[in-house]
Amino acid sequence: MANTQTTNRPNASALTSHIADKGHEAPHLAAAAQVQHNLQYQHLWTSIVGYTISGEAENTNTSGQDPQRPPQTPIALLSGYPPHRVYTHPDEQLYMLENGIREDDLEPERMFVVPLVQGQSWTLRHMAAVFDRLREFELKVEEHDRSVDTRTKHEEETDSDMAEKLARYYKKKEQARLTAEWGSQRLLIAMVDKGMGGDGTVAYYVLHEGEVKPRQN
Amino acid sequence: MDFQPDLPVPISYVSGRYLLFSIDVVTYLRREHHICGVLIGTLPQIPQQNVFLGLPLELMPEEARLLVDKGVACIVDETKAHDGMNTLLEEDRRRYLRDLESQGLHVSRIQTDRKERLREQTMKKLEEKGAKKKANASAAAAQTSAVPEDPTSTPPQSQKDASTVNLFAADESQSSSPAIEVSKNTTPQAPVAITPATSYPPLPTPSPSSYLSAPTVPPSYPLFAHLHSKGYFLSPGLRFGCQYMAYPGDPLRFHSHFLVVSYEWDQNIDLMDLIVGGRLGTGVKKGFLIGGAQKGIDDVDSEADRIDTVRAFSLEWAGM
Repeated sequence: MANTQTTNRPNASALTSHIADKGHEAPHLAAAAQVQHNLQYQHLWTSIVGYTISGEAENTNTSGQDPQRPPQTPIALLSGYPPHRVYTHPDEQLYMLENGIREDDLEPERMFVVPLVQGQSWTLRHMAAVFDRLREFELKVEEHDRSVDTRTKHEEETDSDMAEKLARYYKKKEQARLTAEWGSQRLLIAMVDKGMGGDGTVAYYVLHEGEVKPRQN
Repeated sequence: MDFQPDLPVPISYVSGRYLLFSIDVVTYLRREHHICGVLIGTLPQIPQQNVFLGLPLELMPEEARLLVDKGVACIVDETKAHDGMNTLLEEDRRRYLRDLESQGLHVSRIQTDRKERLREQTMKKLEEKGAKKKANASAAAAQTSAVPEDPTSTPPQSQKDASTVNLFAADESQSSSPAIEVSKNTTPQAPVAITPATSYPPLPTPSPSSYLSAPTVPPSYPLFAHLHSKGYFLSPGLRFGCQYMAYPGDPLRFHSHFLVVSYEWDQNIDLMDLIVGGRLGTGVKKGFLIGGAQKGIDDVDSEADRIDTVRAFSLEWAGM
């Protein structure tokens, strides 16, 4: 009886050990690790990579706040491949319908995610800073994908008709990206409540830059 | 049809509200400047009949400010502008009343003309119909006499025809002749009572020196001006749980696209508010749009600068 007196603390949760293992102690990294965990195991995202938009220390000699300056706190940014498309712009959907392209025919698309915690400071300045630098990270992640090349190139027995259709679609999509015809830059914001230890839920919302008409769902 | 008012159009400032009383100006602003406002005129006896609201039109301070900044409208202090009413010369007053009466006469003349024309048309139609029916009836009668195998079905039909013809004939004789007499007797003496909604025919149009300064606006004005410059029609959002509703075209023809809420550039946004807005928007098939200007209301160099420094973001539920 006496030798079993030492009380064993229960093992840390999978999430806590996940955060501790990676050494993500900084608040924005801890939130990112939690969201990454959620994306990976609950939503089955793959090839998740993380970046940080570093904050800019307050510069005392600039008179007044320059609205273009990024916020002081760093912002974490995740990117990965969802198993299904998360967002399709209504006009893009119309194009796909007209051309007989199904969502499954398309290559998976990388999506960016900003992990946020209920109660953290979050302003228009933060959002503008993320969108202003999103392109930079898109290029970075494209490079990453090329170097890793984990994705199986599905060059199966796609008939030439479909291949032509898809080629036209991708050309149109690139064009639409420049004209913002099929919506402007977008990302997901993942919101976590960590009050009282947290409840494990993550809420995802699509955030667009500018005015993007809603999906009629 | 397309009425062009003399610019700038006066906006009446009455105890803190910006009101429009001229229907021509209201339609002009809606058509040309995408400003809808809210109709607030109601029936004194049934104020709850909100479906039938009429003039005056109340403008948000943002709408009034936008019109003033564009040089389309000016703000006029209604009380001061009507000081002149007391000192109106007796002669002017009488001339104005005479003017109204002649307008009323004109309207009643148009009305009786139209009534008469309508009556003539219907009478002509009825005559033609009656003639046709009679011809049909006689033809049917001729047919029945020729084919006497089924005697039960034919008499009721001819009877019915006859009765309808008689009925209409009776109608005509009863209604038309006295109506003519009545209308001929009464209309010339009874001008339609006209109540003008505006008071600047008797009063002079206010001079530029009496214009009030541009309305003070809430901090959400830059976002309002930004969305308006992009062609959106904006209406107050209180009924929908936001600051503005943004319609891609005239609200009579389009559903709105966005629930709009404005924030200041460094104002902390509670994530719960984002979720609440995103939920609300997605529930009614709209986007939740947040935004704000990088510069303060008075820090901008020009109106174009104000609009350009606005950043907006739209939010939708991701479904995961």
